[in-house]
Amino acid sequence: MADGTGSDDPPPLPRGRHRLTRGAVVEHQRHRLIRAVPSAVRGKGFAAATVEDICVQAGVSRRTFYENFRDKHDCFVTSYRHHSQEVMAMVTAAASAADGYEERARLGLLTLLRFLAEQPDLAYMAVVEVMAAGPEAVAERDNAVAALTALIGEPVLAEAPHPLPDMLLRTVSGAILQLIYSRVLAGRAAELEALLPMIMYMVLVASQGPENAALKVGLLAPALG
Amino acid sequence: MIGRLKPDHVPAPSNQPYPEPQRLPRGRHGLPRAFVVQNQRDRIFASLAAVCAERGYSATTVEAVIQHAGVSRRTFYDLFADKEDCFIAAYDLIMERLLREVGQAYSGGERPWARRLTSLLRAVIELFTAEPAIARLVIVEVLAAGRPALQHRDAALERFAAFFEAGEVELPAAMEGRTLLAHAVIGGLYETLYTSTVDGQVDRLPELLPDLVYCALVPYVGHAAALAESETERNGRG
Repeated sequence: MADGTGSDDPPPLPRGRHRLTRGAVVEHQRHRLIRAVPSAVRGKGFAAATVEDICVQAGVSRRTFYENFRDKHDCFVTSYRHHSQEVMAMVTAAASAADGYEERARLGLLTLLRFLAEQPDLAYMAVVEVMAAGPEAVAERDNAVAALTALIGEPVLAEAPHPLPDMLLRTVSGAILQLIYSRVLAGRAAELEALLPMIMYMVLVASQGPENAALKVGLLAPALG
Repeated sequence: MIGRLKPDHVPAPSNQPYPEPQRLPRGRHGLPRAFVVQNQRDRIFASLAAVCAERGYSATTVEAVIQHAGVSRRTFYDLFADKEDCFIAAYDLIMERLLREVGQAYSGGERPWARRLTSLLRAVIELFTAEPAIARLVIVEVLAAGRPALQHRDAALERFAAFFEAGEVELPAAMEGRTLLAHAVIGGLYETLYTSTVDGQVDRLPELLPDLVYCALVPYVGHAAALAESETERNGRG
């Protein structure tokens, strides 16, 4: 797993003659650019960050950048999409390994929180910078939220003993986002995992009631005796 | 009926939710300087909201704002350092007024907490529905207005947590994480307002109110009580 400094990035290609095809080189450099965006925008923020910043972070030339992307927005949106697909794949894998809808939601959310905690630059990009990166980026963010909501929330609500308003899914995902957002904005992404009990409380409370939900997620100690 | 986010000294015609503050007569008019400045600030804020609603924060320019407001560049820069400074001042003023108005809706009368929170949510929605550009500024545009603006937003949302304190008696006695719970619920409500605003559906918010009431209450009072309050609201304002 990455540690937020991009240590899992592919290294720069060797200089001079090598045996990679032109297509493989382009793909490699494109990938480096995509992986460089979170760190490149973390410093100054999206509005002030330049194509140059992304190129320096990725160790590729401006020319290569423009061979791959129209502009800074294009690169950001591509990077956002890439990372959200990556995290969704991890969340889906974690969730599908569990038994029962509650445990699936819990493991899926835990995976999400750990992923973001371990990559603070990416967390910042995913929840904070994305809102300043233009309508296309915001639409990408809304898609990611919807996908996550469908995966984690829908089964839980579907299992509820009584019908629940559709809006509840959105308020639960909004609650999750706000809790994450506020930690990340404060530079406290490392503490994200500690949010899991409250997040699970929000997921469960409408179908199970405050008492049972709080007991189940550990916000309430079981009564003695 | 609750008041609106209007400049305090400008009477609001009932058919015009956010009045364009009237321009002052040119030249000597005998008005004290402070009044003029305040009027200009309000006018600039209204114009900022209008221009942002049309183009989004990042494409909004000081030039467009001063043209819309009918003030000079000099006046703008006498009042604000730059666009961001102006945005944050507008945001803070709007949120201050919003908190005051919804605080009144919340605190009036001896009523159970659930009913008071319902009044608060209704007040929020009425204010936003009456002034879509203002709603967009504080709900959507603030997210794109830079890091200082985000800090102001976080601080403003924090202040809404106070309205949930009285709901804590409904929770299991020894339950932990009460402050976090309020933040979670506020985040959930915000997301719903955000979605409607971003989709340009602010005018449909009133239809959502009963469900919004349910979603705000259910983490505190549970399903049955939240549903009862929501139905009361749906069937015409208990």
